Amino acid sequence: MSTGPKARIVAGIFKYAAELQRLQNCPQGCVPASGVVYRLVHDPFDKYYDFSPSALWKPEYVDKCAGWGLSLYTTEAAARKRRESIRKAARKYPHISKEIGDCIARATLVPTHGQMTLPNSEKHFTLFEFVGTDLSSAFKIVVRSDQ
Amino acid sequence: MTSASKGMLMSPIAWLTYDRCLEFLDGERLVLLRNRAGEPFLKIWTDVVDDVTRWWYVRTTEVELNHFLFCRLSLKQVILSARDGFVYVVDIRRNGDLQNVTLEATTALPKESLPSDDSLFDSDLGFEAPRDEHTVLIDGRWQAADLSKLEKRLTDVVSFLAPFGTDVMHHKGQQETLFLKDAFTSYRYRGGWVQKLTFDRLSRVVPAEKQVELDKLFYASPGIVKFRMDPVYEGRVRLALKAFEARRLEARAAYHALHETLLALGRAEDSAERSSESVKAEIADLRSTLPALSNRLAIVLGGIDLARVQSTANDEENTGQLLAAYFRRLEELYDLEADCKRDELVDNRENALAIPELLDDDPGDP
Repeated sequence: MSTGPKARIVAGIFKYAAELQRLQNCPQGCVPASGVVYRLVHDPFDKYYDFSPSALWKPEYVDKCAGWGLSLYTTEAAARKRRESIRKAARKYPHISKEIGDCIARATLVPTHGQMTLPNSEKHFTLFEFVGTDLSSAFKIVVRSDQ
Repeated sequence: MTSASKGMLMSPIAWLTYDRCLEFLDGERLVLLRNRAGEPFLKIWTDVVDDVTRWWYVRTTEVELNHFLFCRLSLKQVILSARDGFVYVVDIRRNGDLQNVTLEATTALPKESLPSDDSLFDSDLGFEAPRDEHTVLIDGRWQAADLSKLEKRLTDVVSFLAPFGTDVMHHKGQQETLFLKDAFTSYRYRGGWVQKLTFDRLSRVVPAEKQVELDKLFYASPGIVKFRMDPVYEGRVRLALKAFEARRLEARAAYHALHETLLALGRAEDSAERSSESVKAEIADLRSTLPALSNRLAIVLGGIDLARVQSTANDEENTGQLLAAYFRRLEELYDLEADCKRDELVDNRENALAIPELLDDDPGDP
């Protein structure tokens, strides 16, 4: 994964450029997308929930920069940990799996996919896609819900 | 922020105001709202169908809310014991527009949408937003003396963290440290009185308007006590308790190592042979180990600026004594506070308030 110099890309090339431009300093501290990444998805893919930024379906995310990106993890273990949190939360919200998938998919990002924040301590980062990116074709399920 | 949306103006829930998000997981899942009378409502994410998200709004009580927050009640129990006997079912479109508001009796809620029996609050999903109150659940038999002790320990922990805490308290740190400079140089920590004097002195660092103050009592079993506090201090106390919870065995081990060394040092310094070469050597040896032991305890407890403790204590023994005294107070506060401990959840559920499982019972006669 690249940890090269921070780049501020013109918002116009992002998939949600207009929305990002409304927010201050968004995205910030990003680097070109690269490396093997993991994401929680449905099986089969739900193109809406699996590969759309949550701001499109969560009003509370509209004014948040990260809401216009996709949540990804740099390790399978981190994605599994997240899945455990979701499963625990399902005790309170039995239908949460409609929004957040229970499988783990893997992809290899390249700079043409977009810009990503640096991973935090939980190996989580946000990808801001470029126009033309279709991650559903880049991801393959590697851990099913019963695994 | 208000929960009112287009088309909801005639609904009683239109006037609810946002208090805080209790659980957030890729979006708000559980939100605390209040009506004009201050009564709590829980807004619970329930389902999503196409572009419509369904929420349940449940009117509850302050006591039940706190029992839920302390894992004494499950979310399912809170829903089924809704004060009105029904929940507001609110459907909201993706764009935020209200689609529908209906009432549903708690007895008629779909089972597949109800939380499970072990649907307990998860503070890890909450925001650690500053609060101006510190809520404590007191279990079992408790009296005024217990409350007094709780307030004292809370005050002690705040008094220590105000001058010596890192992070959020830094903005006042230098001034406070100056006020305390060399304050404890002449203290000889033998017995409890000097400890009391120490914390009385430390408490003067906290401005009067930021002192811990008993605010509200909710008599129930278990009961709830709320202390009014400065939000910054409250956040710091919560962090300290959380850090202690995470590493309490390690913290106790670090404390015992420090405490035993301090006791041995005290015995050596007070012994009749203190001027003998062997005892002098022993004292020097014990003193030389103190900085590392103090450092260890400060690291495990976290959030303590050890350099500032040292600058007020002015020697390694008093530094160790201050840290040890803080540890004892933090531990006591931790023990006094009935906390959500995951390994005790089953017991908690058994002890939870008896709320009938309405869905499983025959509703019986009207």
